[in-house]
Amino acid sequence: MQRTLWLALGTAATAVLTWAVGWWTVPIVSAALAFVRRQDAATPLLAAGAAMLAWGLLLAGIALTAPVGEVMRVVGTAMGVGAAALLALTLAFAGLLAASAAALTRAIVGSREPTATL
Amino acid sequence: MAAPIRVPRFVTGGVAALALAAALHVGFRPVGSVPPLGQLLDPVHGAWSIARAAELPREEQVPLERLGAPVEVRYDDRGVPHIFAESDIDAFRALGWVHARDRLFQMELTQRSVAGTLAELVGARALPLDRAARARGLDAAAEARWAALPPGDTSRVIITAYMEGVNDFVRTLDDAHLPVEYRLLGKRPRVFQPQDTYYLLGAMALTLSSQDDELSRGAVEALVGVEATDALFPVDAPIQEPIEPVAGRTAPRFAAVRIPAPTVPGPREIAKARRFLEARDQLAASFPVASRADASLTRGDAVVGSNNWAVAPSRSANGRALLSGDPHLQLTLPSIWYEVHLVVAGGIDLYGVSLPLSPIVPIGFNRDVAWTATNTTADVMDFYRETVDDSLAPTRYLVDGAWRPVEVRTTEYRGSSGRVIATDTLRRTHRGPLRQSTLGWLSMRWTSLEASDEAGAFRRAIRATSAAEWYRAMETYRAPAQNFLVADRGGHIGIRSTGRYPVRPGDGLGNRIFDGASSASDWTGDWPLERYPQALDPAQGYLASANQQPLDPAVRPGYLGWDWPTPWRAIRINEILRADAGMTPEKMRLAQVDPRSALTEHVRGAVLAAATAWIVADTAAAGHADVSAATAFLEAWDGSFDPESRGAVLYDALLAELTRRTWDEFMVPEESRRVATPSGAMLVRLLADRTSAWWDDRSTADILEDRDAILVTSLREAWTTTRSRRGNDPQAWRWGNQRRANIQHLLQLPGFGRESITVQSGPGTLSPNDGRGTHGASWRFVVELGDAIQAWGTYPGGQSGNPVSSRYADRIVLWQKGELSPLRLPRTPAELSERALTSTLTFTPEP
Repeated sequence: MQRTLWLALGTAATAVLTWAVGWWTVPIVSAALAFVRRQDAATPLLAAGAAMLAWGLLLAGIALTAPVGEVMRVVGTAMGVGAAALLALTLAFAGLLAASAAALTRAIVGSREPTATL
Repeated sequence: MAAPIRVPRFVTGGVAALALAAALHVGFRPVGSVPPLGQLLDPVHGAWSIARAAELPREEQVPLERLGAPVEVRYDDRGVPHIFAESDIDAFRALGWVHARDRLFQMELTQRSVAGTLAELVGARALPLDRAARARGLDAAAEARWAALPPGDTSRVIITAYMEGVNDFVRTLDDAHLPVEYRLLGKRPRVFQPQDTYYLLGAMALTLSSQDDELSRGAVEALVGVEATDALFPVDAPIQEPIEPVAGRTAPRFAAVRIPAPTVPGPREIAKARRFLEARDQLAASFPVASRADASLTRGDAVVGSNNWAVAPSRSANGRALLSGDPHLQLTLPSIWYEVHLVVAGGIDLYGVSLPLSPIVPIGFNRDVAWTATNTTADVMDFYRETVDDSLAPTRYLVDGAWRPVEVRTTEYRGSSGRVIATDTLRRTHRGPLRQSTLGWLSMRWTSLEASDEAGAFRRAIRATSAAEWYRAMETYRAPAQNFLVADRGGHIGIRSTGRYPVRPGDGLGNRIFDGASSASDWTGDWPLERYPQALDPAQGYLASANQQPLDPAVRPGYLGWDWPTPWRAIRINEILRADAGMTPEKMRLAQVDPRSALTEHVRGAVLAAATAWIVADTAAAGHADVSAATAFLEAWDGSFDPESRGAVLYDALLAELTRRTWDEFMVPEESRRVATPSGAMLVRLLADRTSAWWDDRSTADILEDRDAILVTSLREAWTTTRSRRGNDPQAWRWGNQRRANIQHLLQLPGFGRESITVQSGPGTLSPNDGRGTHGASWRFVVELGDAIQAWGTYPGGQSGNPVSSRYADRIVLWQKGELSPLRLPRTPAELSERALTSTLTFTPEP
């Protein structure tokens, strides 16, 4: 339940800051999230999920009034990755930024556990 | 159960740091040709944001610096902005902003293509294009033309206001309106300069330059002899249907033609031909000469063909003058044209197609006069073989026994990072750019590199109230030479091949390379205006041009060019107009996509006659069944190049086969292409000579072929080839599958173009197409000049340069069908009905 709440919070923060400032705020939000939830080993995944969800929602919001699908087709084809892959690449990029920033933050600020467990 | 593996924190931290660093790196920095991913993939500020700018806002208010009074722009349901202003300056300032919003990237690309700075935008792969651009010298010509405009000159003031409008848009550009091409390249727009308009005019001059083929001609002379070359690539077209009408003539004139037999080239001649071809290829990289890929001396037979015609009230159904414009150019997305309507209170009321990066409307109409153009294809460029002091790095060249200094300058090319990636030394003589080739150092003189006043001429012409006044306004127009056709509300029609036509020394011809060591080789002047090909209100009641030789030399001799485009389109247009004294706008439209060619009957008639005789004479011959079937099939064809036509498929293959077999003498040994191909008109003239030596196939040393043998063999081969390529069932062939339009994006970005569009097209028809489909009708329109003006038009593209906009390619469907939209012509903002209004943009003076 608590993770869901943090996911929602992370999503909202990422969406607002991406809208207001730009893509590079994604790792900042994720780092902040990881700092607050440094005890939770799943925080990098949570941050990635929040970032991807935020960008997905932003795109969905734009798609309500604008031809986002056409952008997928045109830009995806121009980049040689295809329409669906452009969307996947966009979300993956957000996820990578968020997860890596969160993981790095956890590694730096530490947690109760001295090591990570695979 | 195994114990969990514990990973030290510094390892996870290190991996995370590396991943984050990599993500930020590709987010902020380009990697190879991949732009910064952060700026590209950001859902709000990246490429996705172009979706938000796809459609025009219903209402918008924009403060504009230096505006004298508010300007209202009303976009109609075709995306055409109707600009209502209080002054010309305000109107053109608004036009600059409007152009920039819809076509900003196209404008920058155009400027850079002439300036030779494409590599700065798209990277080092564009370096060859940049080198060619600077070697041509259109950039220097643009700067010189701009510098020559005195301060306070009206053209200067208008162009400056226009470009300020462009920069006002760039200055306030938001993420959504940044063209996606910039994002894909990881770039931002440059600041535009007023002289950029002259770069655009330079780009048009290059597009419309009649490629000078003296170098190809040298190779041809080596292969087949001077006499045969003169006959096959003549100064005067063998079939005359001139632009300037000949009184009393009601049919094309077939001039007497004698085609001497070709000489047989020896090793020396072949080596000479190769030298010319090599020089041609070297110079094609910088000068506007045909490259080997074009391998043809024949211009316009298959690729390009603009048409225009007008009828006087006496030959229209409702007693009004009618004008049809059909300029053919390279087809691109966004289109070369941008449709616009400018209304200035108490001043201009101008509708037409403009060229983004300029305030000029070269084709259009006002409330009294309509005008359009085709390319004159005159010879306005010459080459001079210079004698230089140093064959590697000349500093002086010889003229009349005295050395003159070569103008030398070094130029640097920058890549997309701004770093210098190459340098060149550019040289000029008093004639123009100087380049090295296997033929030595050649300088080029070209009217498009010299003084001209296109901007001023058009600025005055748009205010004309009659055809005569329009031509007076255009008297200072120099280049590129155009056949300007005009009709006015008073019922007058006129045409004038307008431009600067150089007068050459000696025999006056320009179809050779001149000796640069003598000043006697230089141009001695220009044709006076009264000698230009022209006609006003001819007795025949109509006028037409289709790039053909403008003057019939039997009536009005004089050198304007050589190896003219074929006359088939001109003949067909004249045929249509002669036959119908009751033309209507609808008939004008239908003529624009007429599916017939004046060439067809000449070739088909000769082939059918030869094949029929052969079938009867030699029933046991090999291939008899094929020739019989092909003959029957060709005979049944109605001669139409309708997309559904089957016969056109065979005919096209036949024409290609016949051309290949007839002109085999133009093959250089061990080369896969012909050096040149005489025009289809010459082929038709040759058909009259059954035993000409040109019919002999040199690859069959022991057989002497005549015309009929080549015609029958060509038919049989065409039949066999077509069956193998298109299937054994001829009923399944479809001409529309073979001739398609391919409209590519300016950067040829995949996904940005519209390809494989079935179109009305055929060899010698009003819509020629060489199979690549990259050229075609760039703007079709019809104007009826009555008490009020009515007009219809369309072009293959759309007003927006945003590839996800509904206005990006929305007109292609209509264009493909050959149909036209009625053009809305409101005199006031209120006259554009609410139903037709899609967006209102109000410019207000910035406080």
